[in-house]
Amino acid sequence: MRTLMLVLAVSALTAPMGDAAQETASDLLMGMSHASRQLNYEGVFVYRRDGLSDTIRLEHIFKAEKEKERLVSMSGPERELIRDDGLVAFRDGALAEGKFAPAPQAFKGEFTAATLSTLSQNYDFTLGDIERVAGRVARFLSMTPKYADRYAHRLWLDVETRLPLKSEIASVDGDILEQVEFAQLNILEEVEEDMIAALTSAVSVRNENADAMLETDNQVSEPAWNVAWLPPGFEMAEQKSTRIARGGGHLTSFMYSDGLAMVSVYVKSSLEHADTEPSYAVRGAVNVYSRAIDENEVTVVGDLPMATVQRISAAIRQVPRQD
Amino acid sequence: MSKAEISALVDEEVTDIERRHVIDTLCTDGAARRAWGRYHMIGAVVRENAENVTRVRPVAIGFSKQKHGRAFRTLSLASVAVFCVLSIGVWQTTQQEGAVADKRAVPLPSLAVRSEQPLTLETRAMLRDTESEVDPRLRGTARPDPRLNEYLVNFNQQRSRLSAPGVNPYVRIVGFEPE
Repeated sequence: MRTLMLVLAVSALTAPMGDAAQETASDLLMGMSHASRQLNYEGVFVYRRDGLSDTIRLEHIFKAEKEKERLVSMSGPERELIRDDGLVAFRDGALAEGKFAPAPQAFKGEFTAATLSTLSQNYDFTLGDIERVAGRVARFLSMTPKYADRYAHRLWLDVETRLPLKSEIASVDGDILEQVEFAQLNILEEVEEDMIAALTSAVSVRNENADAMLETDNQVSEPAWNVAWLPPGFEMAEQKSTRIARGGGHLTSFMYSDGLAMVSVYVKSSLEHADTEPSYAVRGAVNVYSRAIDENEVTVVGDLPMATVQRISAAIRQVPRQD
Repeated sequence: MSKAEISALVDEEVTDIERRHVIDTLCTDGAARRAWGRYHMIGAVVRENAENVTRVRPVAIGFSKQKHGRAFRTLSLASVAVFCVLSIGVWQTTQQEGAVADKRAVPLPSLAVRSEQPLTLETRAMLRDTESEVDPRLRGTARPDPRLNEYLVNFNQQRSRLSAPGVNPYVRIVGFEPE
């Protein structure tokens, strides 16, 4: 029965929607994954959230099966992020400079037939009209959650290349929480060598100092924590534990995803300086909720509604060790 | 105010007199306040080791209380107020010595999800479960906390490594502009 339901769900996802074209939501999303990674392009987009906006320049190249990408903020203090395949470097003005940990399992989040079939159990896919974004023709695609425990995602995909020209995350009330919209996008047929060299050298210099914050600590025993409830369709995507250099203790994190939204649970095993009262933070579609459990600070972060983040927090249990 | 001065304050590499001067300037210089908030957030991710996980916290609670007198404690508490104002924009009044007043607590959104869309049976059941399962202490008492910025950055960084579709998490990092 479960298999039959899955087949029906996939059939609904892959059925042509609308009469304008025979393409399906599945075609578009898999095409978007492929195009975002394997095309060469540059452009300028506006990022909006919480009533704020920032203009960012993007350069992306794909060569020898590797991605290189640069994002530079064009207003306010200069911030720059360069990605050389799995390595990412970040520069913030003249002060902060460093790298993020390499991504050994990078880019496994691409849309595939399997991930789409899972997604279709929790989201309704709607293919909309043709619109114009950044001077290009775009197809609208909406992914609306079947339950109010997560957000809606909307995409405007370039008809020619299937690159996302505009994307939004919205609440069930329809409020737009985050939006990325290209003002200009150029597809590059040829990529100049100096552009490739600039991206590569920048990352190699900045990666000399590794950020150990996210390195897995293999000496840590199995984390004694259990998340007793997650929204339907969420599965563990990553688990890490890091030794905290100052003050001792460990920071253990569990990341879960339904294929579209993500939520992380952080457990910090020391309450030195920590508040015992619950606290929260909100940035666009990302909500954070933190509280103390015994001598631990437990923080849930996700691009999910605060009510869902709170409920996950309430479902976290410490599992007694069997020594 | 120079970036070097803000950096020194963030890194706790200033004397008491310098600290007082920098904090006074932060109170009147919006650009400096934005830079200060940004440095705290970015520093939690891009520095060399995990000690940043604990490092932001002493700043957020107003430096060490044991080593300084009443005047400095007042100054330290004022710095907490500055931190909160620039990071969240909710804290409106100056800090008073002592406990945080209850009136500053901002209630969290209700657990009942507002929606004009008809809720499914499953969703209704979920919300009922939520209401009954969530510890009442979790509701209504939580405070906005700029210290949680480090988790926001860490989350987006993790998200980018897994490359889940949606809003590009790198955009969230580069496009960050603290309130």
